[in-house]
Amino acid sequence: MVRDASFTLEAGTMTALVGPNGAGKSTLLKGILGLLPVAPSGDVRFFGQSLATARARIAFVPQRAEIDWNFPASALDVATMGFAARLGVFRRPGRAGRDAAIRALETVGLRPQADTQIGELSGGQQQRVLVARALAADAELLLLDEPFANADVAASANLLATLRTLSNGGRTILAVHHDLAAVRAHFDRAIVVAGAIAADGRPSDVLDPVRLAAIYGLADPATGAA
Amino acid sequence: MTIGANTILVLAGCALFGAVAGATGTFVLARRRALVSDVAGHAALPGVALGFLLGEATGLGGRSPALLLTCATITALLAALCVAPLARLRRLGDDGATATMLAGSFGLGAALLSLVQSHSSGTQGGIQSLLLGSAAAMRAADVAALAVLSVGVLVALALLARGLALIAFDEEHARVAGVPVRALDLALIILLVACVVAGLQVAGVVLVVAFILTPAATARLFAGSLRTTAVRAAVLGATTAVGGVLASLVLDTIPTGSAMTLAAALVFFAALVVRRTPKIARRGA
Repeated sequence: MVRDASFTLEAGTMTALVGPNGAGKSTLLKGILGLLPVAPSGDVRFFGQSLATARARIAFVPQRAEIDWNFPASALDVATMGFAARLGVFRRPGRAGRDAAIRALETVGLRPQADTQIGELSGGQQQRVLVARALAADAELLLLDEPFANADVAASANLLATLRTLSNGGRTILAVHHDLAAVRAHFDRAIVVAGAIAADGRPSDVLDPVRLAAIYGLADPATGAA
Repeated sequence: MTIGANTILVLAGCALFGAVAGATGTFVLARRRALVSDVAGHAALPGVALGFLLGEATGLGGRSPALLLTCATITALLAALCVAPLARLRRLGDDGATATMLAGSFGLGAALLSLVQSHSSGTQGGIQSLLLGSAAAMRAADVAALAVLSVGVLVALALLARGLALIAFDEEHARVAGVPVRALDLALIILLVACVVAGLQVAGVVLVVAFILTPAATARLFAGSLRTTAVRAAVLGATTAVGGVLASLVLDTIPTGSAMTLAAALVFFAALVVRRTPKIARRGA
């Protein structure tokens, strides 16, 4: 449960949602996308429009652990799904879908793995396939749930570089992230969630140790905020 | 055994059913609904028994295939559709809800069946063949019904394949993209039940499920897209169905359902041995 969460994202920026475990970061992310059984009270607007209207411009990138990687599909198949999901159930992605998927795989550095079965990709590559799927849909806003979870140093750096390329190209990134040092070094903005929005601003301002100690210490189990 | 025109007709029908069952099973497995098909299969039993009793009561006769299959469709569909709401409603979880529905409907079926047996001992031929399957007992009208259902399921699957792949791989992504998840799930359950009912006479109430899932599981052992997996499962389903039916016709005493299921299981274990599978992916890390 997250209360009083109010924020506006600027186009072409990278924002991190940070906070203690169980503070509601993923809940907030899924809530604004209508993925929770309970609809969010309050107003969520994407590009000034409702979710239903703006869907085509948004993509959700789930935690890697939520995907069954034994699913029968190649990296190209998964990237193509991004394009296909926008078309609805009955229209074929066809040549355009394939081209978009290949371009997306190129952007995330997985062009050579296009025909590789997803179960054979490394963890970092799997995470980037999910980003490629969002790109194949030409999403302008990417909402990523813990994309750096269980990633080693190289995989993290690789993904960060990819996300930075995307935001420099005008796409907006909102990612749930655990690593405060990485957020401080690489993100434009940090929103600290602890049951509510506890702080919001430039990472260097928001993530100073004293403030963080207070925020992480403040989390109250009785209200479900910790 | 002599292979007459009727036998060829039955074999063709079984091959068609095997293909459709394999293809449907691929999507059911991908969507992690394997046990829902078990519920549908077991819940067909009270429907069959009910159809028998209704037939006797109304003078239509207990062996009216139309009545038996209609009742089986209704009970199987009801039970399969109850699983998801039940899992959500009481926080039972999917496996708890599935087990409850499966056991409950089979219990009801067994009770109704004993009622059938105490009532009319001489006319159970039809019902017996629906329990374990009997391809030999199929007539032209039965094969026609099976063919119509199978072709219908196949066409629907071909139309919905892309959408089903989207929700099976990542439901949340699909929902954000506006894919109609609930409608597709409902369609999948309806197709599954149609498949179960189509296969009742061939494979029988309980074993029809094995035949929907086993070729699909075998096909999953090999790399490829969901589409190629479905095609592979269809081919496997058709061949093992024919093999099983032939075996049961030759070895007169073995019910068709058992022979088909055994054939499918043998192929699965053979494939396990020879597979060139991708490494099994770790879930998460």
